[in-house]
Amino acid sequence: MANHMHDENKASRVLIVEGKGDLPFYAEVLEWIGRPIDWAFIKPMNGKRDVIAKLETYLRPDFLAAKASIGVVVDADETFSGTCKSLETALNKITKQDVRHGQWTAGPPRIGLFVVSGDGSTGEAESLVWRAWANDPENAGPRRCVETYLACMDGQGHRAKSPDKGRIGALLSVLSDEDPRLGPGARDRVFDFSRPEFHPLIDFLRRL
Amino acid sequence: MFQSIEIEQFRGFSRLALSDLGRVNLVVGKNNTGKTSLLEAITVLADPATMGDLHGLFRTGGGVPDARFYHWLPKHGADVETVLRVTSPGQKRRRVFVARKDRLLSSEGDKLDSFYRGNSLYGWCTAGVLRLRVHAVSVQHRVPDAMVDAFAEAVRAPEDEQQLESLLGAVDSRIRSVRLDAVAAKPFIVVDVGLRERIPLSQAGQGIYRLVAIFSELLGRKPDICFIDEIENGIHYTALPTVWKGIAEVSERLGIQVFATTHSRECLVAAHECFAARDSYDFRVIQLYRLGDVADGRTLDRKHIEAAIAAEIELR
Repeated sequence: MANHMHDENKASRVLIVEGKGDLPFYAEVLEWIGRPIDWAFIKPMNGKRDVIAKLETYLRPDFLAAKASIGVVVDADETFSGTCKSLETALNKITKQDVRHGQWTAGPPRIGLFVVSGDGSTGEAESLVWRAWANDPENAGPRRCVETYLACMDGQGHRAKSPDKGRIGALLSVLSDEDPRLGPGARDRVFDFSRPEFHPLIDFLRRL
Repeated sequence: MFQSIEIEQFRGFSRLALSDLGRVNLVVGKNNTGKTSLLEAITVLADPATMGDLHGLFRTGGGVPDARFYHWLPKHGADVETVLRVTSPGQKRRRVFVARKDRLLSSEGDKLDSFYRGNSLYGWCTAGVLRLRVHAVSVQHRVPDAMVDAFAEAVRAPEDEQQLESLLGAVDSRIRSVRLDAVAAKPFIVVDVGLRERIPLSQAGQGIYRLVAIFSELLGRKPDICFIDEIENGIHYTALPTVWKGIAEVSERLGIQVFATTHSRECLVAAHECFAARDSYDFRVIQLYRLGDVADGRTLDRKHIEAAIAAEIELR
């Protein structure tokens, strides 16, 4: 299993992610792109709620001064543009650098922001992963099964709160025999990170 | 109550500005980030006349003030002076200046009184400022006689005595009462824990001793500002909510501003939960850190304390 550096004080690179469930997923992505275990410290913020206050608290001046690069990866959720704008504004204020989605500042420290969406306007990490998996022609058959299952449940009056989380959960409950979430799924090699849908995220993480 | 503090050229601080202070403030930070220096600066601001005794208040070893404690000016440069400023709602402007003998650079328009004349350093403060009473509860300086005096004052008023016993009883239900006793005319504190006779406080455990010290200081001395060094020291984590509840109630009732230090996350969380459950969240965390060779810091309000706790962000 991919892991990450455990001592945030010693790490020169820090990747901030939304939740503890995201941590193993991004650790697997970093391993996939060939980064060693101790390459970066991954800090989960335990949810997107109050994420700006969390960033203001976490990224104190001495912490910023001690790091070479800090990446922030968050879900777009209801609005990609709104999330980009609020995070860019907050990170600009905290770091005094011009932070833009998908880019890295010159630093020091280098600051990067990546807002994950499925279709460029809404969604979350599960949306991106589902889109990449479902667009693979090899998965056309199983994709119909998952969609049929969700549509059937919907027809019974049980609509998934987050459809893409529901799709990933249904998929992984069969293809991965553990916790049906992104991290264990990635560890079981269910997802193909070479798919073009992942390229922007992978490119971003390579530059951490 | 101090609402904001500015410190320039004082010990490790080139410049530290802390605003939005609370009734109760918890100072956190790694070792050597300036926690004790901050308490010393607040002490001098509260009562400039204490400058000559500052060396013995929070640090062990003592020494001549000029030599041991006021060498920060040469460190910060040849032509600098220490300036301490504070704002307090509805109160007169309060400034303190320390400079090399006869080299005061600016009084910032204040009429000044001289309060310290050492071998090489002089101190001035805004003329006519009210001297505030400052007391410290330290883990390093246990002076039983001083504690007996504070305790005697704390139990003089029945309301204070009841609050003290109630707080101690909430921490240890065996404690029924705390009294003064004497042997050969020498007073000491005893505790009724349900045995045939009361036992000396020193035998009641470090935690109870510490609680009596803290609340005797608050209830007995009734200072304007109280420092509590390493507040969690000797106190079991399960007792921390009661300790904070007591500090919140007493400090509000008596108008005491509290600055406590801690290295404990449990202590910080217990304080936050205590104040979050009250009508008024009059609590702040002062986080100190080092930027290179320079100490610096910031004040965290409720939103940021909650964010730190939720995201398990290290504040200590």
